[in-house]
Amino acid sequence: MGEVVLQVPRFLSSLFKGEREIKLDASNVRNMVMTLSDRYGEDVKEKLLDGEGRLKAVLNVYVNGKNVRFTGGLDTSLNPGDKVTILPAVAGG
Amino acid sequence: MREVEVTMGQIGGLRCRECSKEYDPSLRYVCEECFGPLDVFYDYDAIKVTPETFAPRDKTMWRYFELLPLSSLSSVVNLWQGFTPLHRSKRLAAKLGLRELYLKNDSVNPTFSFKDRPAGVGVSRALELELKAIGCASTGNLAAATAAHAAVAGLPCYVFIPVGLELPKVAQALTYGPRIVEVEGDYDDANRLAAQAADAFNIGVLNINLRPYYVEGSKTLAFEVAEQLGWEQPDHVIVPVGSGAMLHSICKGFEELRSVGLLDEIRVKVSAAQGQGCAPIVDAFKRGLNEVIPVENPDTVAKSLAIGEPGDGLYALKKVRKYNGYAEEASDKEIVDAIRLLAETEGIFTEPAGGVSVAVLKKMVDDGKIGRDEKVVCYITGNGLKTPEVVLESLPRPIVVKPDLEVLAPYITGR
Ligand SMILES: Cc1ncc(COP(=O)(O)O)c(C=O)c1O
Ligand SMILES: [Zn+2]
Repeated sequence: MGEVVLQVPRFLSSLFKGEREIKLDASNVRNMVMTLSDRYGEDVKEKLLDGEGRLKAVLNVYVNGKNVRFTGGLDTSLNPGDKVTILPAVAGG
Repeated sequence: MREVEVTMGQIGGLRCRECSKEYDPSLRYVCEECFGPLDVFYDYDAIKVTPETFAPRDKTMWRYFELLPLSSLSSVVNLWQGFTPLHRSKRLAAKLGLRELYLKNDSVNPTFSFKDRPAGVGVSRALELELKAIGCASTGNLAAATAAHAAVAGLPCYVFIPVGLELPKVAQALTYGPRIVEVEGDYDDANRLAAQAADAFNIGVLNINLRPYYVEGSKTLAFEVAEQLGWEQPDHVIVPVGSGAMLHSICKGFEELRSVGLLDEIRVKVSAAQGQGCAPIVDAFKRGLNEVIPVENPDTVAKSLAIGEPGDGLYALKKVRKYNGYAEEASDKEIVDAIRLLAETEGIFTEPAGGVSVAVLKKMVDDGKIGRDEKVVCYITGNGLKTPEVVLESLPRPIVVKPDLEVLAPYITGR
């Protein structure tokens, strides 16, 4: 299957109706957020993105373990089989 | 530990740093509404403390119990950390041309870094929350601090570190008996895996899901400095920065002393020190940015500060600006030179994080960013025995002689 796998951490699970792993078709991260928004409600978009449509500073999105802030942010392209994770930015240290 | 009379339950709860939504003080670390970080707040009006409150207590960081996020003194997992010397510098101050310089020497904590402060609070709170296992992500020092406290608490402990840490740090941490997971990658990779593990396995990871409590321990770095200066604030503090959590907590510490009436209006300047090669906060400060751009491949001899994606980066930057400080970086050579300078003038052997503080202090004095009459406190947060290889190369070799006075004589020059 040509799908991307989103691993949903506990703190986001209510946003995604309790699901912990979501498979979907998406060509880039922005696309993924929009698809999730269609599927789970506008809340998704509103909670993950800031007023200017960028990924919120308090969140980090990783594609196969790489922070998308290094790879073009929401424009980071996704390929079938990619693992996507969302984590709070304030952690560690 | 001696019985101390305290009023319990002054911990008010957790409050979102972004939207101010409040939560009860349970095992949570992000706001459900906006995903902002949560901080502990207290019922400051109910906290009745004066200098005399603390004076008779044990000389450990637990003397500030009222302002720590624990509901009972009996939960304290005690390694007798804190109340470390505030060392009045003579020779270094003279060399730099400063009138009043103090070194907050946290290299002499029980596991030899400031991390005993946040780890002590985090593990104690983990007991109160009845967690069955704890852990941390570490650049080296937190590994030992967490594992040592886990040993005292009798809890299983999982420590996530990046590959390539200094061997003494790994050896020390291993000795306390935790399970150490060496992650193939840098600190940020280890940290991410730890965050996922905290989520998946219900472990209390100190600097992730126990973070609101954990960071509270570092406030005592401010409390002690104020108390040791006779309940006065210094004019300027220099803080080494990785994630920015400690700097943020030091500021919170001074702010809370103000809230409970132990200090006047805050006027201390707070400056951040980072290693060149991993200085995203310095970079943002110097470029006047309102975001901290992560560093993809951190490269500095100060491995304990090598955090490319600093969780508290933006918040630390805001505090530096709010408190009229600066942010400055030090190169590997400047760090090693500073480690040696500190040892040669003050008899304090620090690891590179302390070298970064001293190197940045020197640079800021040279640049006129610190006035000669300012009362300065420089935080020395870790011990040099953890990183001998950093200095060894730059040092002269020992003189090798036969056990014969005549052979020795030409070498003794200071007669
Ligand atoms: C010795 C030492 N100093 C300073 C720091 C920086 O602390 P923070 O990550 O809270 O900025 C660390 C972090 O591990 C450290 O080990
Ligand atoms: Zn919030």
